[in-house]
Amino acid sequence: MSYILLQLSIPPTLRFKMISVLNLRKQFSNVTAVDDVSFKAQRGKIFGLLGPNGAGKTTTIRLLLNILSPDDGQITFDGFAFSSALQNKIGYLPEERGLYRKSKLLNTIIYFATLKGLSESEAKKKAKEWLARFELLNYAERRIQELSKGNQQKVQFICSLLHNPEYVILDEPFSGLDPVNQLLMREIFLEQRKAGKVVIFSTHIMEHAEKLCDELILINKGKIVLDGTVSEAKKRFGKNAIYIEFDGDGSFLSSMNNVAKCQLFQNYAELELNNNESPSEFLRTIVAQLNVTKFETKEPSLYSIFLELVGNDSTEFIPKQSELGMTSNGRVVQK
Amino acid sequence: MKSKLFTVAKREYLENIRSKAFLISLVLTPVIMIGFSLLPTFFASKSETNTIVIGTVDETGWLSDKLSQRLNEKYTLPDKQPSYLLRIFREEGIQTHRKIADSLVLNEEIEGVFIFPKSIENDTLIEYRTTRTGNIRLVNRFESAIQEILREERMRRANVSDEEIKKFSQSLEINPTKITEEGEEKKVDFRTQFFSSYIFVMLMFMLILTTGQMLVRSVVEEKSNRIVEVLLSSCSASDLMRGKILGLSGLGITQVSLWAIIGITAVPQFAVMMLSANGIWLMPIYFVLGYLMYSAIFVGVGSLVTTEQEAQQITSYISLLMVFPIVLALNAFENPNSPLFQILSFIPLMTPTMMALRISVQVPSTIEILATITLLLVSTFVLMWLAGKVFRIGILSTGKRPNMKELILWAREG
Repeated sequence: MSYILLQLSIPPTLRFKMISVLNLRKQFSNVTAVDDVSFKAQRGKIFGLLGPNGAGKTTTIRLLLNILSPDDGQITFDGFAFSSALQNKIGYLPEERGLYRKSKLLNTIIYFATLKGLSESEAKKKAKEWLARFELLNYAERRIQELSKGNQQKVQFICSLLHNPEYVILDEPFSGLDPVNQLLMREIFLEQRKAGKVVIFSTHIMEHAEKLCDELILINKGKIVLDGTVSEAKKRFGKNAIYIEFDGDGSFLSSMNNVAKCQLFQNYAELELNNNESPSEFLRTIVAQLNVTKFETKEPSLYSIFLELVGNDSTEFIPKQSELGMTSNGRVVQK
Repeated sequence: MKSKLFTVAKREYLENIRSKAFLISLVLTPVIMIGFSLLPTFFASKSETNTIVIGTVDETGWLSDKLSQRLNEKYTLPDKQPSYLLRIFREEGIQTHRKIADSLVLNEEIEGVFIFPKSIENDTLIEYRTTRTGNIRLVNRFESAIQEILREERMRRANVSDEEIKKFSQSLEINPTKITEEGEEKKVDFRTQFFSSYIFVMLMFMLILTTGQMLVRSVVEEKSNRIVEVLLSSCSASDLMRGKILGLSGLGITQVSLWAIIGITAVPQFAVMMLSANGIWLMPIYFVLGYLMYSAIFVGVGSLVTTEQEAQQITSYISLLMVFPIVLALNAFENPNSPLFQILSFIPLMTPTMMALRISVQVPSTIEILATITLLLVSTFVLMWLAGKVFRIGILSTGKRPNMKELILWAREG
């Protein structure tokens, strides 16, 4: 009942058009993997599920997919509870990629598509379209084990999107992709958003989240520690950091009342203002004494917010070069 | 909506029927089976191509000649040469001849040497000296030939006429005729009995080994590659499990049918013989139920382990249980309704093989058949249900194998 009332408070055009998660809880023998998690992933928006490794992202996703059943809480898709008919509308990319290594590319894609309710001829037609787009058409009759890792990843993407799902759920979609394919992936993300789909993706690499997410939650140890849009998150955790360059003697800056922290150099300084202080007010007070040549308010990166929230114990949180797709491991799209 | 069970089944069937493993087992299994049954006879007849030379040290002066004559009458090689050739040491002085003969045996110039002392005309003991005491067939043939000759000779000395001797010496042949409840009389051929149940058990064993292992492999592959997550986001665990069993059973049936077709075209009279065996119509019931029961076990086991090696260890032990009754086959033919076999018939894992063995000899009582089929049905259902529960949770879990306590918990949760 309360849920229906909740829905009625939402504007009619958006009502029920989302994946809604309410007070989700899942406990494994001695750990609570997901602890009272609630969020709404709306259509036409990209929703980020962030957190360090082991935070509960994958468990949350498995609960969404009904691969696991929750101990408590509620998940609805556009207002409906999970049903087997809904499975055909979900596209899922698992974190640990895996395909039938000895099967042929086209056959595998067709199999996954028919499992999503497509007819075989339809699946074949679409599979060829997607393979062409990913420049894999020449490999259609090859066995998957003959493909490079990057190309296998692309195949897996095709499998999760071919049936044109309403709800796109991707677990760590960017890991292991080279920069060229990361771009291709972003293009597809935006395409899905434009088509009015619910797009949920998880990542532990903040750069991706920062560039793509409309909304996000950050989970740590099963609990939500941050939610909202990226700019909201930054605003909330903004530290009022300022960078100034100047001519003259800046030594008075460190002794000002409204300055919390100050690192002073010959002709520039990095400052942190007290919480309630407005940067523009601060600028006004100092121009009287200094010739300011550059003034910049610095937003914290999502990355620094994470470190702040999750703590230093999560070193795995720092993205590795390879995960950013900078190494020579990744392969450029093959012709 | 078309059930996804069939989509899964179709893929399992098509992917595996194209696999090399399937083709190999399709060809290799009959070869092995035929090999097992034909090779011994092949080798047995092979040894009959050469004439064997046997020495006799003869004090009687007449026994060796008669023996030689009789052996020539009875045993000839395919090329009409005699099977055995006697080298006779006739003169007096057994000890010297024995030494010479022994050295010939050791030099492999003769196979062995029989010692016929003068006393043999009344005695019953004959010495045979050889390096190969294992040649039972030779010893048996000589034993019966010498026995016949001595018997006839003794009768002749007791003034029995040749005609009467012939009458007394006629050999006997027993013609077993089986009485069934319908009062029909059927000639029983031991080989039909043995082969109909032997083939049944071997077929089932091979099927369960090959497709059962495919089942395990398929589960383990999906599990270790995490493909299973994608599958479970597309269909239910039970559709996945039943689809696999259905698809691979189809594969098994294809395999058996192909073998049957080959068998029937190759030896049509044997097929007729098989089909006329007792209660042959009951075999498919036990076959299908047994197959499904083992499939359930394999699927459950496959979902618990993470590597194929682990899976194969466990499954081979389970399969051994199934073929264990074949060890008792000869006993079962002698006395199919002994209490031991009745009890074993009610252990579900052995029911199919045990009943197959017994049915071919003598169809057990209707009550017993109904009871075992019911028991098998129930245990197949229970195992399927349990496997489904274990499968649902096991297929997602990685790492260490669960202990019994966890398994019970899974069964409850699943």
